[in-house]
Formats: sequence, structure tokens, C-alpha cells
Amino acid sequence: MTRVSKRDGYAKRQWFYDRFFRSLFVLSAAFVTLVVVAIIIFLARQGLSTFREVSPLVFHFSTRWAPPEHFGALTFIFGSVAVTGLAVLIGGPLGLAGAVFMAKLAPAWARSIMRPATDLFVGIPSVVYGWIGLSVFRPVIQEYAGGAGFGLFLAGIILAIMILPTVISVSEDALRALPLRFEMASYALGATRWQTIWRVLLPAALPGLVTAIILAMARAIGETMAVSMLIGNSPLFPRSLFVPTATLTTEIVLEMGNTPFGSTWNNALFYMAFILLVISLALIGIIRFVIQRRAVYGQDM
Amino acid sequence: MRRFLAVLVLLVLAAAGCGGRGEKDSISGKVLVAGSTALLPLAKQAAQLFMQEHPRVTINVSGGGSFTGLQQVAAGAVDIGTSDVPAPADDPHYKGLVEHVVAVAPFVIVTHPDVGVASLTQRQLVDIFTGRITNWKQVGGADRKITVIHRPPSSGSRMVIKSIVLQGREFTANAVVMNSNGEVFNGVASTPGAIGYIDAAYLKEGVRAIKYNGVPYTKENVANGTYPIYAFERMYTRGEPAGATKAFIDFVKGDEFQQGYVEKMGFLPTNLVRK
Amino acid sequence: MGRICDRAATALLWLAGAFIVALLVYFLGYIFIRGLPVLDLGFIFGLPRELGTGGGVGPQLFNSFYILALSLLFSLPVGVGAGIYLAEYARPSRLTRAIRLSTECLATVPSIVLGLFGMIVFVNLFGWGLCILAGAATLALLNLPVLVRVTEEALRAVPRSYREGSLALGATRWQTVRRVVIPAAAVGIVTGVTLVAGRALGEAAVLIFTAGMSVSRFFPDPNPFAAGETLAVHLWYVNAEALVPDAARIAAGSAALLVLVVLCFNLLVGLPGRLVQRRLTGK
Repeated sequence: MTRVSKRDGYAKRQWFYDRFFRSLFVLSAAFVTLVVVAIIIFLARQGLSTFREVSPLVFHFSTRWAPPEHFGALTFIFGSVAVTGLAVLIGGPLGLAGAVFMAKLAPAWARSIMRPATDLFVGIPSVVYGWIGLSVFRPVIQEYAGGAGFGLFLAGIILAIMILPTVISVSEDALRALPLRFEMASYALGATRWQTIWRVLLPAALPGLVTAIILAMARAIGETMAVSMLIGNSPLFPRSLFVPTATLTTEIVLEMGNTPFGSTWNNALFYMAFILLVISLALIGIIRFVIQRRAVYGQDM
Repeated sequence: MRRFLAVLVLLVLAAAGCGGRGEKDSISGKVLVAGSTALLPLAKQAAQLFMQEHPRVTINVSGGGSFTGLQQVAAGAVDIGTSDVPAPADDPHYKGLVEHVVAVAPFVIVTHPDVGVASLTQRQLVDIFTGRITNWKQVGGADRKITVIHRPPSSGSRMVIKSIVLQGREFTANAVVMNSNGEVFNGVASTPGAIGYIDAAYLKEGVRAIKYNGVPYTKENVANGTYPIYAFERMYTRGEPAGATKAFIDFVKGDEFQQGYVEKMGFLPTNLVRK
Repeated sequence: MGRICDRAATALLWLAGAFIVALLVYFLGYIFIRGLPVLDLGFIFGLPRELGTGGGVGPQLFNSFYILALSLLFSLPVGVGAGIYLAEYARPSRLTRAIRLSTECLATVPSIVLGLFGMIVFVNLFGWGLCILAGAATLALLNLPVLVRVTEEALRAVPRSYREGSLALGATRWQTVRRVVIPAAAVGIVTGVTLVAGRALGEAAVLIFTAGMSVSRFFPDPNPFAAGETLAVHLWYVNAEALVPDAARIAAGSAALLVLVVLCFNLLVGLPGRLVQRRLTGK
């Protein structure tokens, strides 16, 4: 009798703990969401009030940025997209190659160097990346392209290095997650290692690789300090990769502290932050879509 | 060595002064200062000295930009907002702010040493900064493309140059824009053919300071009115300051700090020019 | 033909791997060769100066760790809790998707925007002023989404069979999570926290608007309402606005110190993680 009631108490207690921690976790999740929603509302409210005084058409499609009279932000939107594209173009293939190397080629000793190395890339603060870009890469560009060296190219190269860890770690995971039998079957058919990688492994891991690239894009488009040190920050639509221009983030960091809160100018900056949010939402949407397809694909196997 | 001695003497004097006052020091409290980045080193130095004298006062200083300072003080979030531009008089947000001029901030036009020009007239500067002149040979210098490196439209320094040198004209958009004096300095020093403007405090070896209409920047030329490119650094309080805030502002405006430190940090004492 | 292609590709992939490592070595070398000679006790523990040479970064170093610790104190329980909820409890529903989406998009908000948000909420609304506490709270917002994601991913990587086994033995969900899932995912979570910490140590934009750019007159000063300039902010300040003649030297030293701290942090936190894993997996 007593033993049963003891066990009853134990079960009750466990049941209580279960409930208690469950609600604790729900509360944390709710809190996180609350914070995010608060920030989004804050951004949207400040940002959208820009359009009390500025036509959305002008804001999105004009390149003439001359506040407080004219607010055309196309240059910044284009700058953000261009510098991100450039970073992915340079850093994507390099990172993918690194991931393939790590997942399929590297002997244990090489892997034990490369894994902490990619983590360390994350540990270098972005101000330091900017500083290295200024003092190491800029003189080289000045030499070969002339001009001041600031511009999309300089920022793109440093960003390409900054996104390497994201590309490498996510796509390496995707390659590792592939079942060994894919590889075995390919080798059994007499394929070389490269043919196996190129024809079998990469296509099979494609959704994961796409996710890696998109995550890297999200990282690149939100980067602020390093880019603002390197891009030249001129609100001028770039005619080449080697002239100063600006991105959404650099314009925000440049003007935020000096524009009166609540003014149209300041609101326009908040709207730019809102655009960034929408772009990253879109990127996340794409990742979702890709992963969903992978799930279906995986079941078919 | 002599400088070291001077600093030592100053420190001893400060310590002596501090000892005398320390016994009946009734000032205590916390003062928050935020705003202009250009004034930051001066404010930090003043805070350090003031806290040595008044151990019961804590002063926290931060940058953020002139308008950040104005907003913060208007909202009551900080006690002192620092700014290199006057608070817009017509804006109801800033009503009730009291201005305290704490230093004169001269600006210098600087170029990369290779441009082959030592003096520019106001007219030439207008042509360069508005983008009408794009090569140094057009103003008698080397055959080199001009790169303008300067500050964002919302910066106080840019407003000063715009109103004094450009007389209200707009800068060319074809320029490199940097977030701070230090970055403009580094940019000009490392880019052949570059021109820009910085607070005189940041003038160091590595760039060439240009004579403005033939007049070089010196303390004397500012005092006698021949060198006109300067602005006033201001501290704003909401209403008349009291307690520790008042004591701190009085300290910054006081002779000891104005004569002993302001100039050493590259600014000029307020009594040098009439406002 | 296939052989040649294979050889060429192998060479190329080795080259890519070597290039990435070489790049890192070059970056670190560049930072350390310039910065390490600056690092001595006087620099690491000395007080900063606004006039004259020889300023140190002692208070900034202390503040960096203090703000990091406080921000983890705020964000770790909530972030890990939310991650556990998403991975273990949440059923796929529209609400769950909204939660996940919102955390992911918080992760891409530029940090300066978070800084302004923190300034308006913590500094102004709560009236804390520019101080360590306000900086830590804002930094916690920056850490939060990453912590949630890292936790969720680490938990998801634990095979389902573990949970099924535990539940089949009659354990409650909480017992399963605590005794089975979290130990198995611990290494992943710890690694994630290390990455978050590294990022937080290097963060400047958020703190300029919330923690201030001066330091307390005492060193070390544990008062959370003291001014909280960190090493990364100081690096930015020295590069941008400082008047001291040896600004370049201090910048190089701060950069090296910052990277060194992150490195040590990775090692210190990473090592126990690996030991825990070894103990758990019995290897």
C-alpha cells in the first residue's frame, strides 16, 4: 500500500515537473516571439511613416538621394543586392570546394585543422575584417584598377571571406548527411572519385548546398561595419565595381546617429532596415521551400 | 621630458586643488553625456579630470552623433547632449534646451601630400567640392584625378563646411563618404589625389593642410578673424543645469580646463573668438 | 580521361582547402604581427588615456567579459528554452512556423537597428542610462535568435530512437529531454554558445548606443550601472575618433587582444565540450 502511494507521489511529481518545464519552455518561446514582434512593429511603424511624405515609387525606383528633399533609395537596394551577389559569386564556389574537400577528401589531420579554422573565421570581429580590407586589399586594387579603391569589389571580396564559414559548415553537413550507399554504388559502377562527387554526391546534396548559399546571402546582406569601411558610402549608382557606392546597411549606420528621431529622413532609414527584414524573410522562405522539397525527395529514396 | 614635467606639475596642482576642495565637496551624483563624436575625446578627458576632483560624482560619456545627443537630452535620457550643430530653433522637440558653448572647433582642409597644391581659394574649393573641377592640374597642381573624401550629409562637420566654404551649395555625390574624422584622415592619407576636411584636432603627419585663401590654420589666424572655418562645440541641458551637471559644465567652461586642456586636445578656448 | 579529370579535381580541391587555411593564417598573422608586440601587462591592464601615449585597455577588457556574461545570463535560459520548445514540444502548426520565422528574421536584422531599439527601450524608457546593464540587455537580443536556432538544431540532430527508447521506458517528456536529449546534444549547444560568445565579443554597433563609450574610474568596477565601453567599441573609437598620438598602436593591440580572447574562449569552452562528448559516448 505504502509502496504504491510512494510511486504515486513520484509519478505525480514527475508529472508536475513535466508540466512545469513544458510551460517554462512555452513561455520562453513566447517571450522570444514577443521581442521579435516588438522589433518588427517598431521597424514597420517608424519605417512606413516615411511614406507620409515620400512617394513609394520615388523611394524604390529613384537613385537620387538628396535628403531632406529627395529620397530615392534604389542605389542602396541595388548596392546591397550587388555586393551580396558578388560575395556569393566569389565565396560560394571556394566555400563549396572547401566543404567537398573536408567531407570527402581530407585525411583526418587535414580535417582537424580545417574545422577549427572555419570556426575561427567567425571569431574575427567585423571591424577587424574591415581594417584588413583597408590596409591589405585596398592598396592592391588601387594599383590595378586606379581610383580610390573603395567600391563593390573591395567590399565583395572581404564579404566573400566573411561568408566562407557559413558556406563551408552548412554544405559540409549536407554532404556528410548523404547515405554511404550512394558513394558505394557509384564506385561499384567504376566511377572515379571526381565523377562520384560531381555526378552523384553534389546533385544529391543540392538542397543542402542551396540552403548554405542562401544562409550566406542572409549573412552578407546584413553585414554592416566591415562593408561601411570599404564601400565608399557614396549615394551614387555604381557604374563599375571600383567606384564608391553604398548599401542599405551602410547608409543606416552612416546617418542613423545624426538624423533627428521621427523626421522623414530618420524614418527612411528605418524603412531601409525594414526592407532588409523583408529580403531576409524572402530568403528564409526560399530555404523553407528547398528543405521541404528535400524532405519529399528523401522519402522517395 | 619637459612635457612630462609640465604634465607632472599640472597633476600635482590638480591634486593640490583637489585636496583643498575635497573636504567640503558637497557635489555628488551621476551625469550622463552623449552626442557628438568629434567632441568625445574632450568630454572624456573632462569627465576623467572632474571625477578625480569629485570622487562622489560619476560621469558616463558616449558618442552616437550630434542629433542623438540632442534627442537624448530633450527626452531626458541623458543630462547633457553634446553637439557640433545648434539645436534647430524652429523644432518644438528641442524647445527648452539650454546651450553651453564649451569649445571652438576649427576645421582644416587636407589633401594627400602628392597633389602639388599648397593653397586654394574659396572659389576653387567650391569647384572641387561640387565636382566642377576633377583634376588637380586645373588648380595648378599635379596631373592627378581628384578624389573627395568627406562626411555624410547629416554630419555636423559637413554642415559647417557646406555653410562656410560652399556657402550653402551641395557637395558632389561623386565622393567617398566616411563615418568619422579618423577615417577621413586615413582615407586622405592613403589615397593619391584625395582632398577632405577634418577637425583640426585630428591633423597629424601624413596629410597636407591646405591654406584657405592663402591663410594657414593657426590659433592666431582664428583669433584675428582671417581663418573663418570653425564651429562651436556645444553642450545642451534641458532647462538650466543644477547640481553635478552644472558643476561639470562650469568645470568644462572654466579657465583651468579651457586653458590647460582644450588647446592641447586640438580645440580652441571659447574666449578666443566672439560668438 | 576520367583519370586525368579526377587527378585535376583532387588537386584543385586540395588547393581550395589549403587556400582557405592559408587565408586564415594570413589574417591571423597580420593581426598578431602588428598587435602582439603591443601587448604587455601595462596595455592589457592599464587605464586608457585621452591625452598622450601609453594608454591601456584594462577596463574595456573587463567590460567585454562582464557584458558578455550578463547578456548570456539573460539570453541563455530563454534562448535554450525556446529552442527546446521548438525542437521537442511544438507541433507543426501555423503558430510554430510563425515563431521559427520570427527568430530567423531577427537573426538578420542589422545589429545597429537592434542598438537603436535597445537605446529607445532600455536607455530611455527604462531610464537605465548608458551602462553595462543596458548594453548587456541589448546584446542579449542579438544573441537570442542564434541561441534558439543553435539549440533547436543540436536537439534535432539527436536520433529519434533515443527519445522513443526513453519514452517507451515510461519516462515523461521532461525526463527524456533532461536525461537523454540534452546530454546527447550538449556538445552542439556548447559549440553554438561559443560561436555566439565570439560574435558578441566582437560586436560594436549595438553597444555604441547602449553601453556608452567611456569607462568607470574604478577598475574593475562590477556596478552594472557603470559606463561600459568594451574592447570592440574601443577599437572602433580609437580608429575613428581618438586623439592620442599612438592610436594606430592601440588599435593594433586591441585587435590582437580581441582575437586572442575569442581564440582562448573557443579553446576553453570547446575543450570541456569535447570531454563531455567523450564521456557520454564512451570513446
